[in-house]
Amino acid sequence: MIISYEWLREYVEAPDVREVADRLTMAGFEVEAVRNPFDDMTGARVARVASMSPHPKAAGLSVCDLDAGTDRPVVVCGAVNVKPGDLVPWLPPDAITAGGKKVEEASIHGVLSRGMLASGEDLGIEASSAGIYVLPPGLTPGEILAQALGKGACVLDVNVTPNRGDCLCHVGIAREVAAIFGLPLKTPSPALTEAEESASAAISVSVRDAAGCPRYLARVLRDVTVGPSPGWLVRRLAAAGVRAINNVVDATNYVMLELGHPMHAFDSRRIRGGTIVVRRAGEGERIIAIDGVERGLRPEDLVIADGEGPVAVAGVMGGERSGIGGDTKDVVLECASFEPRGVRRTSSRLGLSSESSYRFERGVDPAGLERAVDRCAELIVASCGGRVLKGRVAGGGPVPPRRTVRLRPARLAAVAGATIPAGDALRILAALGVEKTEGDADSIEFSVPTARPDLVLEEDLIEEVLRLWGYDRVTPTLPANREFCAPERAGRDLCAAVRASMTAAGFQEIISYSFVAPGSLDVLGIPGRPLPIRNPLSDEQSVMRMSLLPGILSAASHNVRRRQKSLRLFELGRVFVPVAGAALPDEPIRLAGIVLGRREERSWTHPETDADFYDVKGAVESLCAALKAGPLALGRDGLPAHLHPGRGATVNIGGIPAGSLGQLHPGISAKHDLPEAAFVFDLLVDALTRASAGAGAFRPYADFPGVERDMAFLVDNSVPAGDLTAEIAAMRIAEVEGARVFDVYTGPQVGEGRKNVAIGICYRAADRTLTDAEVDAIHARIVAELNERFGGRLR
Amino acid sequence: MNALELLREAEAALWAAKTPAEVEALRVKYLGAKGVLTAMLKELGKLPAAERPAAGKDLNEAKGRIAAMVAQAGARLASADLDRRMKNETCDVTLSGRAVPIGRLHPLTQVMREIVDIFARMGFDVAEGPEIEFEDYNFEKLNIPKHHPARDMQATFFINDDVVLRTHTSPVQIRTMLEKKPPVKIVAPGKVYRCDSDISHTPMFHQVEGLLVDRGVSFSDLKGTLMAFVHAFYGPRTKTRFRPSYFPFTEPSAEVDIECVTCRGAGCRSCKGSGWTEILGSGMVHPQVLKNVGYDPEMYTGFAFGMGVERIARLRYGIDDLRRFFENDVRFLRQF
Repeated sequence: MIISYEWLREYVEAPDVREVADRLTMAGFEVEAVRNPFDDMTGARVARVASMSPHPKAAGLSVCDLDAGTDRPVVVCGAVNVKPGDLVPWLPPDAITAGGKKVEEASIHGVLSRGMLASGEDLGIEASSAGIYVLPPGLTPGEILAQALGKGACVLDVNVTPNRGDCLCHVGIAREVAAIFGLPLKTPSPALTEAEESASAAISVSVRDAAGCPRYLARVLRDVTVGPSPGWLVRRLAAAGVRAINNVVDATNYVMLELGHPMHAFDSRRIRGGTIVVRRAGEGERIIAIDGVERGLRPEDLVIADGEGPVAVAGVMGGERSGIGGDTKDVVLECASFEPRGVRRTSSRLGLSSESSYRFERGVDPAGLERAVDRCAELIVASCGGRVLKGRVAGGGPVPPRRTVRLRPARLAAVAGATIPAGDALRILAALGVEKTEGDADSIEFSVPTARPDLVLEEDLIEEVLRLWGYDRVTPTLPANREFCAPERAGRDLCAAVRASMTAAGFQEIISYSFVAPGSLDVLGIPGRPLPIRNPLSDEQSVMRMSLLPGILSAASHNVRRRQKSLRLFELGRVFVPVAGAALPDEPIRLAGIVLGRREERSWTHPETDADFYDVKGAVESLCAALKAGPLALGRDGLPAHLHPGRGATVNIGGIPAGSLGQLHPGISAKHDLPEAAFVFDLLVDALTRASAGAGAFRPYADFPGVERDMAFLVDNSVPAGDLTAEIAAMRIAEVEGARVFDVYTGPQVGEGRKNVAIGICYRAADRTLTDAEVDAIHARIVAELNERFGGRLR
Repeated sequence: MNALELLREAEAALWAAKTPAEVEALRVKYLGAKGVLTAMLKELGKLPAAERPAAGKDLNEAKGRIAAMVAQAGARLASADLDRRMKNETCDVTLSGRAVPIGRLHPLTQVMREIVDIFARMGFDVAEGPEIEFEDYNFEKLNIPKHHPARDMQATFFINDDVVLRTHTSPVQIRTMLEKKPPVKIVAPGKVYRCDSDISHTPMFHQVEGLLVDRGVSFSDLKGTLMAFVHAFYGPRTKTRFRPSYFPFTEPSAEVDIECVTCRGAGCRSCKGSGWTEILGSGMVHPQVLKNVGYDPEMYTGFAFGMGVERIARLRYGIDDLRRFFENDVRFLRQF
């Protein structure tokens, strides 16, 4: 809401504009900016038209001698709304118009024009102008215009919260300012001279939907002359950001900005049958609004209709057919109270938001209609002439009663955590029109103005008192801790541990959008249908992810395209799996990641090697080690479709299926512009949680020396190396501390289809130092067992 | 030659020795089985009986001291030898080390964790809830009815009429209160969604919200708790102001501003000249919200607050475009 400081001061003797802005902000009306709407008029100066004469050679142009203080420029001007003695804005050569045009000295048909006179459009305060922007009297010629209009021209951009519809006008803000500073408030009280002729003879009003339109008032004016509004009114509208149209429409806008009541003016002759009916739209009814667009209406839309059909969408926008035109003589003024939710429904359905709908949605004072319609009639008569017919034609019900709300001073003190003197509270509420009706020291009853539908509960009054008394006067305290709450945090702590383990393993965390393109899941062959968003921003973000991989792959593509080719990325987050018959999807937390490019940064310390399967497997192994989750087992059955069939594995941790890892299917890496050697993992965090044992009780360890012995086996290529070590473990020999494959060799020396697997075994006994003979015996047993099991040959 | 003379001679010779071999030769010469000392000890018998004990003692003492001098000379030479060897053993310290690659947490994770930890230290539990939520929990129970202009403040993604992508983490408050009786003291971090996208809005972002409901909780407690947070997060001298505002689920409501981190309150472009930066919204829990979860507002009061993690991270790091947070460019992510 733009509030003109000069306009505001008509109702309250507000102090300095900066102070007003600061105090409004601290009372809940955030002032986002204090600015001079005329600031853009760089270089414009105030000048008095000393004399005018017709241009000697060009018809329609005048030559104006200006008094610009020390300067006496002569300019050529084509406007007709300027007369000698007027104060006008003069743009000297080199000034820039609001449209960005540089003003130059020019010879116009032989007369040298030093600059130009400016219109409101040139100055950037009107969208389009018909003539020169004549300035109010009292300014000094020669002054810089922005300074001349000075502080009075300041406007405040006030952020009015949705609960304060009453403050979407100057009088509303003035009431707040008066309450803040303890100043008296003067509000307009229109005085009308009515004609003999009765308005109700000219027009009838019938409200057929009292719920949608609790009150409706109309006034009728005859013999008005439509034309431009007076300068002061145009300037106020301009300052508030509203374009002047004509004196009738301007008056309705002025009243809206002054009192907060959206008004509508109809051309009386275009109201067919002299009747106004407020009703729901009929099936199939249509209306062309004043923006020239035709729209279909629905039975839930409230309309203003005449004998022929809808002439306005109630509270939203007027119709083109009944609007004010240059030839309008008789005017019907509408001032009504429409039900907020209905206006909001219709305006959002039609995609038609207006100054009017904005205010009705937030509530308009049902008791203020009389004053507003009279004020508007008063303004129109003053600027358009004509007569106001006798009486207001009313429809709908009476003014609703004022609400009663109780306030207990003890509750005020308890909620505020501060002692606010009762006198202060009463004074603050009274300034807002909240009147004490009865009560004692324990409980006071207040009558709330109809303009304040937001004041319903005791807490609402507490807030009014507290915000105007001052939040900053409340001394901060810390709440008492009555209970030590330490509920189930295992999941969160585990997520933290997972993140720590991943970053320690060189993985960079990413965060992707939870919504993805449906195709991004299809490409991966992820089974099931994702949950679609009904109103997505784009197709690319139209379904909820069922997997983290689309985000991982898209981040990898993004970086690879920007020449960041060696990547280790991970993400931890929720995915969304629809559950048949359930209202909400399942939201398991998953962990996924990718490794691609060089294993390590290129360096003199080592030869360049590319990442492979064992990098992702290693990352998952380290993760399990960090979480003490295990044992980790990889399987080859039931591989997900996004993995290379020969280089992928399912992951099982501690007997719980936990996801998969392996090389990305080359078809998928190609689609994402990734190198073929891209390796991914995708795990269910809950499986890690369940498999995570934590540190158990301390186990003593043997201090006797261990003995290391190696063995090498030549086996068929198809024998997984892990089967050899698994077999050793399965022998359950107490003295075998561990067995590890330390080399695998394939090549000409071992022959086609075979490989050499070298295993290192550590032997140790808990209670003694093993002798060579003992170790030799065990070692031989193992060799024999492996020979028999795998048909291997010891080398 | 007596013991003293022997000692002097040996000392001079050992000091003069330049190689371990020379030292060894001297050891053999003085201490060896056929060495000088052995010979002199054998000569003792030739002395008069009265002189023998003293002379023997001197010789034995001299033997011990020569042995020590031999060891010392050996150590001296070994040390010199090591020094000489190390002079030739160098490495190029300017070459890069064998680095262990490390990854980093996303800046939003880092900032969110920092915020949550501060409240955890004040005794707030961490609570989480689903990101796809009942419309009822996201709006109605929080006193935001359908067709209320307050819904304009939160453009919503819908799954269907009854299910939405949560627009704030406040439904976690509802879920917690429905489950548990006061006292409730939680902080709820997580992802939230609104259909907006430009340089200062992303359709997904992160919030941390908090809720404290108990007997006798007041607005002054809200101020104290949030000031403690501001001082912990932004530094103990950070100026703070509580500005009245409006949220449907709190009454009274307050927005919290801190002095602008860019200009320290002087007024600059990033704070639009006001000298203040808004960092969070808060207020006393609306009595209707308490009623909606079956709490008696006469018995219990509480406060709630919420802040946008992206906004706080953006201010802290001076990030120009919020969309960078989700572009996942490693050149961005590695900076934090």
